[in-house]
Amino acid sequence: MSPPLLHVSDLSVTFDTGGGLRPKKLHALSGLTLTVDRGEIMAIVGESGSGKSTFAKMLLRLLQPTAGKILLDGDDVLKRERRASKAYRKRVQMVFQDPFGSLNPVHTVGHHVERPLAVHHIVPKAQRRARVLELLDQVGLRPADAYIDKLPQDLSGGQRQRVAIARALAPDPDLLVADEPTSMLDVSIRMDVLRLLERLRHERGVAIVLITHDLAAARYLADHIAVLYAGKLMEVAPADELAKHPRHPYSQLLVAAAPKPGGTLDAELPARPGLPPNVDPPPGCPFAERCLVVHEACVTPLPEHVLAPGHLVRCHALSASMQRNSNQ
Amino acid sequence: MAEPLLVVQDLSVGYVQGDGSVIRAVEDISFTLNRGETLGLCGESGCGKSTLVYGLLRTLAAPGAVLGGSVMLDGHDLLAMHDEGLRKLRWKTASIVPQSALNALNPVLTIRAHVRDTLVAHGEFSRDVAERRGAELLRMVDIDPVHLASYPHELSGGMRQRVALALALLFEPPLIVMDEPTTALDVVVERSILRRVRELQERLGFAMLFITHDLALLMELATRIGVMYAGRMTEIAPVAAFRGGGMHPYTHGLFGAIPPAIGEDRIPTSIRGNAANIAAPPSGCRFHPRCDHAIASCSVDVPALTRCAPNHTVACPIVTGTDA
Repeated sequence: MSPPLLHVSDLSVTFDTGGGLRPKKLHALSGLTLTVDRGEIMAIVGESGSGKSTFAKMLLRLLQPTAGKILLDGDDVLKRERRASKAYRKRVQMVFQDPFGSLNPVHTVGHHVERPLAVHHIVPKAQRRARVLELLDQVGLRPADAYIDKLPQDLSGGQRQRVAIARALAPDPDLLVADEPTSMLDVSIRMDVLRLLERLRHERGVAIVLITHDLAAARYLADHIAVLYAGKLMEVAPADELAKHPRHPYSQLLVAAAPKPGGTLDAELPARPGLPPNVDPPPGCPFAERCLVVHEACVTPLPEHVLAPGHLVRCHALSASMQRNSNQ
Repeated sequence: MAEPLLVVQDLSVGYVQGDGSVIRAVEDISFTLNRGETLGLCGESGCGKSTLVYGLLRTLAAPGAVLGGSVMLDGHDLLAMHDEGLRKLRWKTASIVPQSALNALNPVLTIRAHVRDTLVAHGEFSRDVAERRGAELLRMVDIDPVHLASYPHELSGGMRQRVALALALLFEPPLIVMDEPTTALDVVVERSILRRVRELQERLGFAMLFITHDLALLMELATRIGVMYAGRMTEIAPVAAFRGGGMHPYTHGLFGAIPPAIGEDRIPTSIRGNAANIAAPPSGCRFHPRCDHAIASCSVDVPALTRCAPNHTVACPIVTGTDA
């Protein structure tokens, strides 16, 4: 069996913070293990401080993990190369959150999309313009020749994000990392961009890691949703399953907090208030101090319960209830 | 009986360009806000919702300017007032919770200093009063009063937004404007803050103008919702009237564009085209180039807000049947 496209294991990043001579350790990501298959869309959700953007930076090799492995096609990339090679960058591309900041205002649309083709020597110079037009067409900027010579300022937010996606696709990557690709866009056009990503996955088989705090978007687009809290994986599940039957108490909190037409603010949130304990975190479950079903086992390392293929829950309360059920 | 607090009539607000031309960002908007009520203003970026609110409070910086109309707040004619009268009125009668509390708070002042400065500006010089009031306010928004000594950068995003809320409550004004106060926060923090806002509103009885682009959020928070498109109000109605998706085609489109987080497996759809360019708005109904129901007259006649049910007005002749 061929290895999955991306497998990260025990990925951790800690930063020293404050404290002068005895700095505290900020755990941005601790022991993340996750697999993304070819052509799969994996959404990473969690609140601020959950480590989702840190994970994106590590996949792009903008940040060196403190520990752990990144396997691309089974190849241990961190071991082989300290800094990301051009070959790695060609295979893993990024779509940034802010299409107003990620495009250079003095360069045309065509220039942005052509750069990766030139840098990675993908298309001979004479044919580049044709290839750029093709890419623009693929991301729905039609007719492409009306867009190729425009400057970012001439485009709307949605159109700019399409240019950013075309640029990311230019080197024909296997994995696209999209960090909140629609949060800066107007509500009425967000779906267009999500649907474009979905179409590109079908047409080109590109896998996507979608970083978002919008559970609704994750549910719509992703095959699987991974829930992070304070840098630790809490639950991974098929997207619809996670939205409908979240099993981890933190996933349940995220689902309960998502705004929904017809809902009210009256419903009590199923958690105590608190912040992710990233600095010198306590052992065991980081969510324990906010959790309503916390018990004494929660200070011990997180368990791993595989409830179904592709559905992993790391929660001691679940261990206890499974124990009870099996005793009955 | 609902008592009007804020009455806005035919308000137009715009931006004066270098060449003397004017971009009319808000055109002929009228609405009434009752005491203790929450009116949600919703629309995409550039629809004029912030311009409208900052214009009516006369806090819009040049080149922004009010072009016409009238605004009555708690019996005061805001557009006719002198600056000094207005200065006294602000914060005491209407306060603002801004979108980015980090930018709204002074990075070199403690929270205590923010409270004191505001009190001093309104003639209250006692340190004891400032200390007591500051502690009281922080407790109201679930922050430990020890943070009176904290600087803004020492607080998390959620705490900063709570501080901004506490400051807005300083004189318990009858009107609080919330300009996307939770957009920068994640859903869990957002929800706990909004729940607190609602509790405080029930206790203190202030009215809210709540600006957001998050229609789903307004459905849970607001009493009434006003939907704006390209500087014009397209629909105003009580929340219940929006449960079925509203009447205006643009409102329909907005609801259709929100993917459901839980429950039904509806496939969301976006509205075709892009938001109208406010500098050169389409003729007639500004939404007509993106509307699936548009007829020939839509590109010519400016639709008026027309009553289609009690408390429910819509600016679309097709849904109100007044195009004859």
